[in-house]
Amino acid sequence: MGALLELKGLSRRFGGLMAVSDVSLDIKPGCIMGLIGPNGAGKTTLVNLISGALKPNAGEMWFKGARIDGLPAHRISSLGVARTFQIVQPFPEMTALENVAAAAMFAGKAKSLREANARAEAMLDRVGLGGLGALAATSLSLGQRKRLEFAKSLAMQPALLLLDEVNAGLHGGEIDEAIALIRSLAKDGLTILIIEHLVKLVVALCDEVAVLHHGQLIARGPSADITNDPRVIEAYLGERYSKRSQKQQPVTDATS
Amino acid sequence: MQNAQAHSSRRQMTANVGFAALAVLIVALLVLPHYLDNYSLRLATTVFMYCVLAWSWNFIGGFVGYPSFGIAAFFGMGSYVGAIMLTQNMIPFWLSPVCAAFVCLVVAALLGAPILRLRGHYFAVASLAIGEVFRELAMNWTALTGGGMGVNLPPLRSTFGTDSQIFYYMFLLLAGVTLAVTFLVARSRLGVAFRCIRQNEEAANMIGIDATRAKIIAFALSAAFPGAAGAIYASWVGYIDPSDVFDIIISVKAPVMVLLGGVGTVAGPAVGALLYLAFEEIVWRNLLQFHAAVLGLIIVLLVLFMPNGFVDASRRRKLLGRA
Repeated sequence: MGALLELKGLSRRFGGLMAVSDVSLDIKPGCIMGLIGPNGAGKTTLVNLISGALKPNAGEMWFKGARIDGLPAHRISSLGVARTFQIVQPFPEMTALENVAAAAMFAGKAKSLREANARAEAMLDRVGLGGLGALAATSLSLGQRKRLEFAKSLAMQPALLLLDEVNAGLHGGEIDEAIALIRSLAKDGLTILIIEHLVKLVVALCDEVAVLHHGQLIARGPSADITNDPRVIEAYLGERYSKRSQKQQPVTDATS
Repeated sequence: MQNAQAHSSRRQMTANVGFAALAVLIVALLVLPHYLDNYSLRLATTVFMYCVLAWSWNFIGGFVGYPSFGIAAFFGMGSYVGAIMLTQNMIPFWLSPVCAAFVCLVVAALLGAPILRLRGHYFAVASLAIGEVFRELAMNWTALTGGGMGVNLPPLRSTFGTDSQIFYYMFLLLAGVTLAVTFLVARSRLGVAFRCIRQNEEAANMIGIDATRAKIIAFALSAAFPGAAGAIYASWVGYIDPSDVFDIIISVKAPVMVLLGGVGTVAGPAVGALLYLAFEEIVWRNLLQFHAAVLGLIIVLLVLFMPNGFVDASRRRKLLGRA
């Protein structure tokens, strides 16, 4: 069926808690998919499963037609799945350029240090950090570190990019820049899965949205429809509000 | 443009001066044994042995940031491998460090897989235990090792020079090889992988670094060279027993030397080895009763005031001076 990533009945348990429960999802090449859900819905756990940071207890993951569940994280990233971290994790003793070059060198399979550095320069330019490569990664602001994470992921030349709350903690202007960047990446053919709290942003950006609640996939569809889905409104705002809103007009903004 | 040219020619000149200094140093080290008395020759030989141990520890402890206390384990294992093969007349003398290095490399790679899953203090304790287990093995496997009686090694009786000159050159060569490998690793992809793992192992995995494999390579490297050093040491002193070559103090000396010189640098461990031997000779001789206390004091002062060692400290001062 031509999906780039396909999850079949994926589950992950932490003790008695089903963080991700029987999630089946497929992402088509070139698509921007949004993954939303209230706090604790299992969004980050799902990203951890896909990137190999966690192993699933049950279910299958297929990427580019090959099964990847159970593979170590470094193998999955080398196959072309890149992720950013919700809490940014640069290598603190390296410069911004070295951070990106390291990503280009390993998962990005750059042939030489020269090639890795050249690609790193290009990626820093692309995310708007051009000229800041020589700075220590720790001296960057939070917004800049988020973009550094972005540049690292891009230097890996992935087919699938997992963005875990890249906009959290950013202010309005920075968010607009991030949206423009994500759009331009999608135009270049990159497939993107975005985890996001800002529902408005997801609606604006994504072709499709999947909604997690208590670890289960409760809805999925074109982003315009999903915010009117009573199950989604209920998950975010509770049953009473959901019933009331059905009588009134549809809700399009549900920031948490 | 002109500025850039001037800059590059200045760099060229610095490089030339560097090469000339290196050549002079190498020639000086090669002719040195002919001008030294026995005591100085023994000190010089010991410096090279310490350099080997410090550079070895630097692979796993410095570059990768896993605090190993396993140097004595492989120093001891190497000395027993060398001693046993030499007393059985299985190999010529010069081959014994090669065989010892190989055995230690393989054993460390096999042990590395399980114990490198541990981090921080847990890894340190596990690596310490390896040496203790090996010491007990050497103590009790009497048929192979002679147990607590130790092993006597034959003198070299070489035609190339006196024994002490030959051991000087052996350790000099081994130190050169260890330095060369350190240098190569520091500038290779593997070196980048090591540094990434030290800073953030999860993030390293996420950018496609096989952290497990890299750590095993670092651990094996940090075992192979002490193994070779142990084999040469065994012939040098002519008699080994388990409490001597598996002595825990060897495992402590190596990281102290690196901490003294500079963690995760190429030159730091050699600087540290030199400083440490100077301490050893001056302090130890004059304070025979308290030398362990003095060693402890040095460690505490190091951790408090110079956590990254002399090389790093001097570099930082230079940067500050320029700014």
